[in-house]
Amino acid sequence: MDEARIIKGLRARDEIAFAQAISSYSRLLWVVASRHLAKADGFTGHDIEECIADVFLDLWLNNERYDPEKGSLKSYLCVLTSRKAISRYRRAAQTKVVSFEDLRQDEEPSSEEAADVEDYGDLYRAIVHLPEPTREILVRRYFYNQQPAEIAARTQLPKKEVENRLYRAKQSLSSSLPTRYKEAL
Amino acid sequence: MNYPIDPLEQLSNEELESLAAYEHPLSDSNIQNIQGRFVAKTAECAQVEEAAQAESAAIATAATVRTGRQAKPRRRLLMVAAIAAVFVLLVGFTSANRIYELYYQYFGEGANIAKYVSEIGQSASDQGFKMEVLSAVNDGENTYLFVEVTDETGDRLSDDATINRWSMTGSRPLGGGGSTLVGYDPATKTATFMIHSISAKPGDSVLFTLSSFMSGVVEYRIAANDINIPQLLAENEGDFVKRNTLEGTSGGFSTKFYEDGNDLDKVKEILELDAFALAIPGCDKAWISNIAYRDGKLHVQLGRDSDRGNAATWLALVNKRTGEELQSYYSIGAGQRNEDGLADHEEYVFEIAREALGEYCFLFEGFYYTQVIDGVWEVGFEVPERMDTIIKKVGATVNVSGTPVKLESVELSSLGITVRMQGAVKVGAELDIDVVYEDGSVYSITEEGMSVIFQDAGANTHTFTIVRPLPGLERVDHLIINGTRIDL
Repeated sequence: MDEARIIKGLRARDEIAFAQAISSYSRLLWVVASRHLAKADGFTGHDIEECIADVFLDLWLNNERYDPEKGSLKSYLCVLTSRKAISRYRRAAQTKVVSFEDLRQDEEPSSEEAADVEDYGDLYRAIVHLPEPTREILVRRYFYNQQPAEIAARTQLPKKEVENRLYRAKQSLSSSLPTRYKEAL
Repeated sequence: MNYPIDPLEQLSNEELESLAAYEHPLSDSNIQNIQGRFVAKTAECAQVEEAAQAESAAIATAATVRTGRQAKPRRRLLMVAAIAAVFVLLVGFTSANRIYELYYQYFGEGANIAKYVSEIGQSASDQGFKMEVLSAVNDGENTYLFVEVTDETGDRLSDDATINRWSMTGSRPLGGGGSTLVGYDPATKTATFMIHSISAKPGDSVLFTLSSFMSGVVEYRIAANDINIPQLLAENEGDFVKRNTLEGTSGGFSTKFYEDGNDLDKVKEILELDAFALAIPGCDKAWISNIAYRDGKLHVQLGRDSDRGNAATWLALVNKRTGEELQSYYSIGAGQRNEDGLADHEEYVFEIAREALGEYCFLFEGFYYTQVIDGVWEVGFEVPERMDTIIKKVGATVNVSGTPVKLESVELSSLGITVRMQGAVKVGAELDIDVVYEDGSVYSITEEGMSVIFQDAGANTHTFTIVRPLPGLERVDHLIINGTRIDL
């Protein structure tokens, strides 16, 4: 079932269309939600499942809010997932301060970031062939948006080593790195 | 403002799963759980909407018999009542959510079964175990229950639990069914089973009785190198006796046995029972009780312990040099049936040259349960209303495994399809059913291999019950069964 047919089915609250949408997009939304609901913060796979189910429930209840003129259903679901995950994070950690990066997920990306999007498939394929723990460090940095200090805590490596490996990766993967991450290093 | 494109959108499902492994590993069961949670939430919303609509209708009715001035405070009170009703429903959501998830987990994606589920919530305790019948659903032909068993006092229940004996009785005889373990929670030591019972009708008052279950599987696989087969045969070659078929036939056979035109019912002679008892090193659940060689075949008889936890022992031969395994040509039960219904002896027959026996040793495989728990856990309840079902009488002829048979009727519900046909249908024959919707889309119930098919063959009438959830029952246009179109 292609996206146009799924969207038509979603409008009609068609069970098959929703089942298909969940089947097609949940893997993507899983990683999107995991960016905000990290294991180190006490979140589990059940929280991610609940978050994504809430996303589809929102779509079920308010499908008119999705406007195909503004982008793909996939993109809309990613935005919705980020919002749901951030809300869940806030509720679970009332005392924690939500980082600026978390809040940025609600914003429209700059033209520079939009251009960066082109690079991610190649970036993934470049990273996936690297040995551990470099691969994990880069995955956490580039795909989970984690800071070196967070990565150090989660990989139990010294922060300096994390920074060194990120720096060396920048050198070796310079052609694949999105601009904003080159600048961040 | 346009929706921003997330960089992750460019990755394939495999790549996303690889990324997920770094935070929250992702598997197909997570996707199923999301489907289940979604179905549960939509069902809950439907209940809330219905409650709100009912209250709105009450408000409208009340308002029509009052003046405008009088209606206002009344409306406010009813709105409060409506909000309270919604709150009560939401409080109850956790247990309902669990039940819907279970149905979804078992019946798979796509079905809107949740709205038909009746919560039972009745429990009984015995032997330190609590049994609770959580819920039931019925489609006229089949009743499905979810039952939880919790060990409240010990640590006797594990994730391999199985129900040994259960029954569902009513004012008239009820048919059989099956049970399946669908979940286990180690924190609460709770096993969840799905029970499928045939022929209980909506509104029947029935008594569900659980009387035995088992847990704690131990598996074994023993290559008996210490037993010299040619020597054992030379010293103990046994005699054959006429087989007593009064107790019925149990056993198994290879494809070759079947292709050679054989039938277990036609086996006339078996080894004499208990000519000797040779212990199997490392196995106290079975022993060798006779052996002989005749007509190019090695016959080996095993005796088995009558302990009900002793679930199964299988015998094969294994080549001591190459490790190649030789499975039996056929096996056949003998002797008495134990309490568990299994024969207390099993004779294994191998096609093997006598001179090759020295190259092989016996390979014993099996498993048993360390916990066998008997008791009486009984719960009475009323079989819920039948869910929406399409019943269609059909006179078409359908080709089933090369044989034309008359299709008598089909029944469709959100739980699956029941097909009744008359003719010479082989046991194990396959049905390929496409459900075609009004918009032309097709839902194949056999393509994903999830179907559970119960085939009840009697008097040349065959009933196939295919447990496979059907989404959008109200939009089904027609079926295609093994290439034949069936209009509904």
